[in-house]
Amino acid sequence: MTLKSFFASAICFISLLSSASADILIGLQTPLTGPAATLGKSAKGAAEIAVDRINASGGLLGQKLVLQIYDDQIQGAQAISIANQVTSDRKLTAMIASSYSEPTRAAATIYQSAKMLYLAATASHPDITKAGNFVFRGSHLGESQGEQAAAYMKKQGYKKLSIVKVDNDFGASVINGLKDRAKQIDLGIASEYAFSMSDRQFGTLVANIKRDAPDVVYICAFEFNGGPLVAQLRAGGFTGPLVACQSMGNQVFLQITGPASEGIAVIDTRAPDYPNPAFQDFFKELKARGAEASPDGASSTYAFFEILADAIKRTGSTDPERLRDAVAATKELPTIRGVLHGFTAGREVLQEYPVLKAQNGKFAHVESLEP
Amino acid sequence: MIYYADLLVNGLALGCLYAMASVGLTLIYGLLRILHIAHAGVFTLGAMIGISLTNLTSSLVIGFTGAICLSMIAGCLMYRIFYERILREPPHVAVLISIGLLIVMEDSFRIIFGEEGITLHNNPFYLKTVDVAGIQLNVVFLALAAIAVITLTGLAYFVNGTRVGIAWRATVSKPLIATSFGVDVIKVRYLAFGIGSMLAAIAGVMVAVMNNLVEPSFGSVVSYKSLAIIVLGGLGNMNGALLASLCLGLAESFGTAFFDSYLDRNAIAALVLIVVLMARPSGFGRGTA
Repeated sequence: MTLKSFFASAICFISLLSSASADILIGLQTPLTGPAATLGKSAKGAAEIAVDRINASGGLLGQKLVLQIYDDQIQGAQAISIANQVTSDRKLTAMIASSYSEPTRAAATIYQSAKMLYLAATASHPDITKAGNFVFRGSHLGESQGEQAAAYMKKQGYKKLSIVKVDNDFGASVINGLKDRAKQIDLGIASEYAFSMSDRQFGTLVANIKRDAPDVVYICAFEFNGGPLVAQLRAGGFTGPLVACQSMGNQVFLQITGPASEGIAVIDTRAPDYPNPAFQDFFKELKARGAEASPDGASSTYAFFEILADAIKRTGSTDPERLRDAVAATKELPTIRGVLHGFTAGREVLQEYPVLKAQNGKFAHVESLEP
Repeated sequence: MIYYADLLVNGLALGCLYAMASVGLTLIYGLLRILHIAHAGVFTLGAMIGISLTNLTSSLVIGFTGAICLSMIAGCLMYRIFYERILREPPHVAVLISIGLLIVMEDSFRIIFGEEGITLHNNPFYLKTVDVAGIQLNVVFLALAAIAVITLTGLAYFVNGTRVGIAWRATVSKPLIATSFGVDVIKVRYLAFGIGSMLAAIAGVMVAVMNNLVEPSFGSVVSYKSLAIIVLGGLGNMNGALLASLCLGLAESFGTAFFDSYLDRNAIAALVLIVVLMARPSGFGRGTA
């Protein structure tokens, strides 16, 4: 080998090393296909905005942020397969999961065992963060959403409520929290009903609720089953107030229900008019990218990029354990979702609960409930 | 009292929905002995076309007509491409092809129409109800019920009580003899698929209007309930299929009212199927031909 070729090889090798370490890879696990693709599309849009903005302001630690997207199709098996692949490659600095509880819960223990930061942006089942200290949640626990919903309904003066929930992890966790708080604050529960994810005809349920005649009905479902349910409740003659959980606070729900959604209150989700300039600026860009259908899921995803970027800047490192400690120590960080007060010892987010109301075919922000 | 009347009416309406969704499948099985599981895909296809055309033209009449015509063509093409060449094969071959076809159709709907499904931009019907003695009846449900009863009883009479209908049935058990009597066997088969697909499209569009939503997997619940109805109804028996649909609807309505803490609606339907078949293995009616 001549001296010239040696130096050429050395330069190539060094530049290869440099380019390999020049990027910080962040993963996004989200349902791009399947019935929850509304969320996936919005989460992807939000992640891309976050990465573009961070890179436009110079990246992190002099390095470019690169996004790797994984489609879990809201299937637990798919999420596990992704987690196994990602944790064995060890290329990612962190994985942000913007998906439902089932796939997020399925994958959490794998990331914990691999000591890789796993940030659950949208899933609400309590067992997710119990996987361990590398797992954080950016949205409210299902149970705490239920607790706030009970407090809201009590504040509105309702005395007797009927509960309708989708029969899955999310529905169960929200309703457990609601029932516990309802007992503490003396909010009566007239009845409780459940239905499966595939149900779209709710004649019996409507008949039951009309018979029960509650002051208010609390619905914990998704837009594709909660929407037909709300329409059938109104068509069936139930005129009382309706309160819904965050997963029904999106544009698709309004399209399905039309005028039937008028007046429905949704707890713990953000409307396009959420009173935070940074959120509104973010939402404008999200809309420009055609990803505005699920603004709350999108903003939760984006907020985790803000939290992660802040943690990386504070530690000056992408070392998993140092990052984990930095995220846990986050205090009073302004995000597009309002001020993040911090994380609890159980790695649950401490942040306000916005309340929306459907008015004239749109969701409008009415108030925020503090934790 | 109104509560129980509400449950009864709801159960009958649900039964009519199932009847409408499965009448085409019953006709195809009765005349051709093909378990056309992809019929659920035609149900969804009709709904997707109907809603898309209605949104495009602001006319539900055009949407309906387009859905019916295109679904009939799709049904005939399915027979021509997938089933015609395997008629002499064992029945499981058609079933496997049909399952694969349904999966491909659902994924195609996902790609073409989007994951979230589609809704009607302007739907004046789905919130409209008629008050009958204190019970609110959705007008679309009423229309669906009326069409289901007329269609099933009409088809039952046609298949069992007319010379043409009997000739059609003869093409199943004795195709050569039927041909020698001047019955065009090929035409009967295409007509069965065409009419069956037309009925699926009508049901699909009406259910989509009622829910104001049609998703790629719109037909999946309908598919296995239609199979249950064919079996309960007596394998190709139209009157049996109507009776089975109504029983299933009532069982789900009353069953969910009293047992929903223990079993969900689909489990109740499955339980009914098991109990009826154990007591009466041939179902409610005798099979045709």
